Amino acid sequence: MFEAVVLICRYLFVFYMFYFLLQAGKCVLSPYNIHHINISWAYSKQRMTIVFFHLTAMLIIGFKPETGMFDIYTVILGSAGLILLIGGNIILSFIYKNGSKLLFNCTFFVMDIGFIMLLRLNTALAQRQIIWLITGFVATMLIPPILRVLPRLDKLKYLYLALGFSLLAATLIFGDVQGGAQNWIKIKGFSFQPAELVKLLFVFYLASEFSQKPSSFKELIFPSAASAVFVICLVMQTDLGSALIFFMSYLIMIYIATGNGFIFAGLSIFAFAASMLAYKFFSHVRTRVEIWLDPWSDISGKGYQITQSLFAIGTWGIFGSGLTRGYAENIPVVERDFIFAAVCEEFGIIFSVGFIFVFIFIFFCGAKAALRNYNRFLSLVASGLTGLLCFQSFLIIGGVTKLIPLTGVTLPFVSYGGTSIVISFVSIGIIQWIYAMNTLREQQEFFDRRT
Amino acid sequence: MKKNIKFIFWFYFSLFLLLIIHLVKFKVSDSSDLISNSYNPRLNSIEATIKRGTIYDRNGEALAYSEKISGDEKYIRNYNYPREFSHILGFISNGKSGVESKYNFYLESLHNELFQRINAVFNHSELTADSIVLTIDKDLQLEAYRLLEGKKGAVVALEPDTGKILSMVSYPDFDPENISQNWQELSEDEESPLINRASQGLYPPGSTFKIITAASAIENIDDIMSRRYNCKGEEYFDDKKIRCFNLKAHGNVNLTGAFAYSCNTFFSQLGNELGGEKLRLNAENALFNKDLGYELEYNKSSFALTKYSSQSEIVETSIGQGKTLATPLHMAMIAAAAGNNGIMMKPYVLDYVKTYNDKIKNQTVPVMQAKPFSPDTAYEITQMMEKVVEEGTGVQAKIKGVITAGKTGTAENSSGDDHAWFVGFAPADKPKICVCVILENAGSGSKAVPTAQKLMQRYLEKS
Ligand SMILES: [Zn+2]
Repeated sequence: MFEAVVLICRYLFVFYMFYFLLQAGKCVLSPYNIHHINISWAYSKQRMTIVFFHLTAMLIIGFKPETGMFDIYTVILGSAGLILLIGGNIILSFIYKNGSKLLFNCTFFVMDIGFIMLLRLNTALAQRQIIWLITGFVATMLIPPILRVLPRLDKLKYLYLALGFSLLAATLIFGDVQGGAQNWIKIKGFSFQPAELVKLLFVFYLASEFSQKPSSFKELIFPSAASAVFVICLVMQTDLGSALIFFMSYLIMIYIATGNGFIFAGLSIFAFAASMLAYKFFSHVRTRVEIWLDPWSDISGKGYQITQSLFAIGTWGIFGSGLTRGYAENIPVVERDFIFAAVCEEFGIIFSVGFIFVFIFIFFCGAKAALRNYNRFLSLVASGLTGLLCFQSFLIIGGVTKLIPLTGVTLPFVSYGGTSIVISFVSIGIIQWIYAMNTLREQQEFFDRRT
Repeated sequence: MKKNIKFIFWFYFSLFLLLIIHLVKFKVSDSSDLISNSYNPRLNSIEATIKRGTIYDRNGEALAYSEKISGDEKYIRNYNYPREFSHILGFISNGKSGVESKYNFYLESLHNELFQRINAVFNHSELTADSIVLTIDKDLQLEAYRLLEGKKGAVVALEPDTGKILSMVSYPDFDPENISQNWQELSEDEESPLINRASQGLYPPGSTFKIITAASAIENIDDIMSRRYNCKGEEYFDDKKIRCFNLKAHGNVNLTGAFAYSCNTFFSQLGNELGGEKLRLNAENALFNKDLGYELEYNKSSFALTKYSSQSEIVETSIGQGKTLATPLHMAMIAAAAGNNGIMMKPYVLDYVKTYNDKIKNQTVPVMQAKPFSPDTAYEITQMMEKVVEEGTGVQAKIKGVITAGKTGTAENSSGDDHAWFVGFAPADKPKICVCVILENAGSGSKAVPTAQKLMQRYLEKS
């Protein structure tokens, strides 16, 4: 009987996803007045969808058919997660008063899907994830005083640069090797990935460097050299995913600042040549590409992870296996890098495509924040941060589906991991603040015009 | 700057669209080929409460089925013809093999799972997984087994224009119902009964390889059909002595005669003239060293010549000795291609999957796997193979009222007496069946001919 309930709920989950996206679509279309849409209703409906999604999933995961009872620990943990996410959403929407509610709803929805997946796969990690969520949530609550001076933070470019370099250098010297890459620092048993924090500093550095429109090529040499040092450091730590993310951030920000198509094309060609060289000279790069091209010949060894991921995505029908009925625990580090494969397996392909669309809505809001701002620096920060999250999501989802070679990066908001959750949270906070400033200024202008 | 930001986000948006297209494409078309891999843990997920699918032959006769013994909650697997189908069906304990393993996913998938489960709750009906229907003809398989029983070797029969495998038998065999009890003994047996000799056994092809040498000669030597040669029963190439069977001198022969009477010196001469590179091209066109596209366990045939090979290696290879090794399945495919205008079809055993409510899904569509011969070459080879049966080494393959084509082979090997080969098809102009027989250590190739003749005759009478 329970099996039948789980199978029926697969359709329910797809319905939740569809309904959530429908409301998101309404919010996006509302400024064009296509329909008469009550927008605050749409936001509330989205929040209700998240609550229903969470409750349905939690009850399925918590039920133990052998005993006919609910597992108390899972239910308590699940309820704590729900209270945290709903409370967080409401409090943050209040603090970032004129921010985008759609952005918060989408972010909290993907976070919730990630949390549910952790609860399903590994309750111990779900418990720790709650602590990370609280940390990220508190950090985002506390930054507005700093954000108040945000427009003036473009004066600190050398500070960002120095901090970023020292963090990366510290990782090179004191770093721990985890998951094949030397990108962790351990302090008193508490480990974190400095590269995640350096990403923020890097975006701030480039934004302040380009906050004055570069007038000549000469002015591009220094930031390019600095970026190259970052990327090379990361390649040396064998953290290829981060290296790529840094390079892409540099590429898009230099393009946004200069609008020069030749630079964009030239750098792309240069990147292509550089990756060819890396393929030739670094065995760890070569290994990754070879696994990508043919994981099946070494299916029990190097190709194990990606082939297990493909089995998870490919085996079941379009509605997935049903929550708790999959075998995603067979994929190594499924809680971190391969969480998308687990979502695909148990919720099915339709839900997962919807899941990608929720991400697209997040980036849409980020792009909107960047586009509406008249301050060059803030516009660059917003597009840099959004671009960063965007590219990182693309790298890992593309990696686990074997569209591109696998680089071990986390899926923002969804994967297990303290640094990743906190930094993604703070990035959203900054984007929201910039968004809110736009809204305020627009209201002001509207008011000025009236009087 | 707004224009630049828009450009960047459209760029990223297209990346994500690419991602979605890739994901959907993977799910819809690519994944079905991958998931039946034995490393996929989802394949062993069956619950004891699900009735594993039935395996049927092409006429709907059950070969393997599961049933509940009264009083017991668990299903057990029964085989109607356990030994006759042991290699093709395989087994589900001790690591699984054959059809039971390869199509395990279908045999364990519940079609309309939700409906079946709800129905089970209210009506106590059985949860029935999908069944599969094979291309194998049960009667032909039983006949092939009866003819082979007691002799080490293998028989393959297939339909040339589709690639459907009609029968596949390997001996020694095993009993799939008692595989667990006898596992130790079976896996250590020197006769390796667990190996499917029909698709995994690698043998020197002997004179059956002359099909490839002849095709290479027809395509590369202009005046080949008018060429004559005087066979003295043996000949030296470098310091390698090539002898015809029993040192028989065939006298003045042309290509057709040399093929019909399996003249080794003539074909060595041809091989010598063609050289290693040209022979290798023709062999690889016929899928030596290549994938056959067959879904169950098989071994690739191997061909070792290159343009640097020595003369003695080349002449040995051109008559099917040397380092060349082939499986009976592969030799059957080569002969079938000659009968099918030079087109080699992908061999398969799974015709379609049938759901619990008799819906057909996953029907296999015949596809071309390779094109080893041009239509003209295929025609010439078929003519020569007809001569073999009409008056040459394969006269025992004659079927009353049907023109039959074939080629015998005698393969020298290190394990004792020669292996006997025969590949052939009938009717020669539009073949319905192609058969390959190998009998290990049986002596000359003519020993394999009667088995093939009986199978082809029986199959043609029935259809
Ligand atoms: Zn001769």
